Amino acid sequence: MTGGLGLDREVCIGSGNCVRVAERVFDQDDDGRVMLVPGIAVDRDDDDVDLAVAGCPVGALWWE
Amino acid sequence: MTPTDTAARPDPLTFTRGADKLDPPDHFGRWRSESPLRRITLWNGDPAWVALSYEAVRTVFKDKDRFRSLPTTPGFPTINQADSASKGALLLPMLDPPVHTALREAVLREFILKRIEALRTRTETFVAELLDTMAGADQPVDLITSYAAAVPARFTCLLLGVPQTDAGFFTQCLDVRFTPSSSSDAVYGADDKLRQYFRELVAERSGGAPRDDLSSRLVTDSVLTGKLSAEDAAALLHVLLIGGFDTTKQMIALSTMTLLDRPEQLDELRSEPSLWRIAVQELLRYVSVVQIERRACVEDAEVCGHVIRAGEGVLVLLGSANRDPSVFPDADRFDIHRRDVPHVAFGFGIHQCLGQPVARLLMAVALPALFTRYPKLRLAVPVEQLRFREDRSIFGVQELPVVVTP
Repeated sequence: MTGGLGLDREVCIGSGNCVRVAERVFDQDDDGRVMLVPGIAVDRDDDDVDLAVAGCPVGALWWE
Repeated sequence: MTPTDTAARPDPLTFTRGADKLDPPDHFGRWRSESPLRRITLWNGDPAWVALSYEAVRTVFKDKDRFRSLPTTPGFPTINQADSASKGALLLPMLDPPVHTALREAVLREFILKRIEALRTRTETFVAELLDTMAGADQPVDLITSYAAAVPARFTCLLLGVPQTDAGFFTQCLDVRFTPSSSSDAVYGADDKLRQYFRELVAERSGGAPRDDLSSRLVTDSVLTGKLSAEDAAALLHVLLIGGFDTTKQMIALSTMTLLDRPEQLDELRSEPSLWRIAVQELLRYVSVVQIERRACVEDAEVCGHVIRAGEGVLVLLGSANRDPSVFPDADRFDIHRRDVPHVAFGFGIHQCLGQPVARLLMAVALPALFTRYPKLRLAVPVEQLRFREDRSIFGVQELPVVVTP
């Protein structure tokens, strides 16, 4: 499902960077923290997700 | 002082820009090509480091445990006399965890991307009103007072749930606060007025029925539950206003200058409005309105091959990082077709700008609306006559006289 994408909601500061660049994959919960869009399958070759990983200001997203 | 001392003393840090005021100082680029970090001498003779490369800047920003934001930390650098005097004011960007974490979390949900996007239509409405007013004004008009400052001020009213007519009070106080020639008494006076305004707002929201706005939710969720004192809540609202005002104001003004200078790219944006999304990203990178962030090192750290010692200060040069050619090919060129690369205009790490969805929304609404409504918009004076603030954390132009009608 997550295609090797790691995600730490405790580290997330709710910048919304990932949602802005890959809205199809990421969303923010009511507290502003990152969540995957329900049912989404993450593709390792998805450039937008790559951009979200590179742009996360606190390293809350990474490729395993 | 012996000749050896003179030779060993690192270059003084200056912020003087070259002919194109929208480019960072030339020597930043020269320094960056020599080394990702460099020792410099501050205005008061103190030594410090500058972080120049994209990697060095991101590394310092991410290491919140070693590089602290609290201005009272030993070695914390200042960039001028005024900066040194304001050490006492504790603002959100100048706090470390856990205090920073608690305050940021109290308002984090207010800045969820979708929540800010939901205010787009109401933003478009007040932007159109401001543009209408400009048409009736005597030409030239100052784009800063009539538009660039009014947009973030009006949006703040919307977000806080206060009357739009309070925008004038905000801009009046903030103008004093951000004008370099203001005396420190005037700055304190302006800050006092704003603080009193927010104290009264918190008190008022603590009494009446809950309303659907940021100030009411902050009071209901944080003050009435005992998580934050009323005074902290007032300070937090004050900081949100300050943090989003001068930055957004200058981004609107300097973006307008950037685009007027590149009519072919502006024409492309006019004929293909979907390009604005990436153009906003590029404007944020290219202009990098926040030039400098400060950190103090509390534990020896290695950054890009240099050892920073505990007690040393670091000036993080965001504009330099955003022109790093190893990350942004042909970095000094403004290009609305540039591939989206995560720039550091909003900072990086735990202090990355909380209000960035607001900045993006206001730019994405205010800039197209301005150029659509006034296709013949032009500067009323030669660029050489404009006055810029070069030696401030937030770079900017003092006035931007424009002619909006033919």
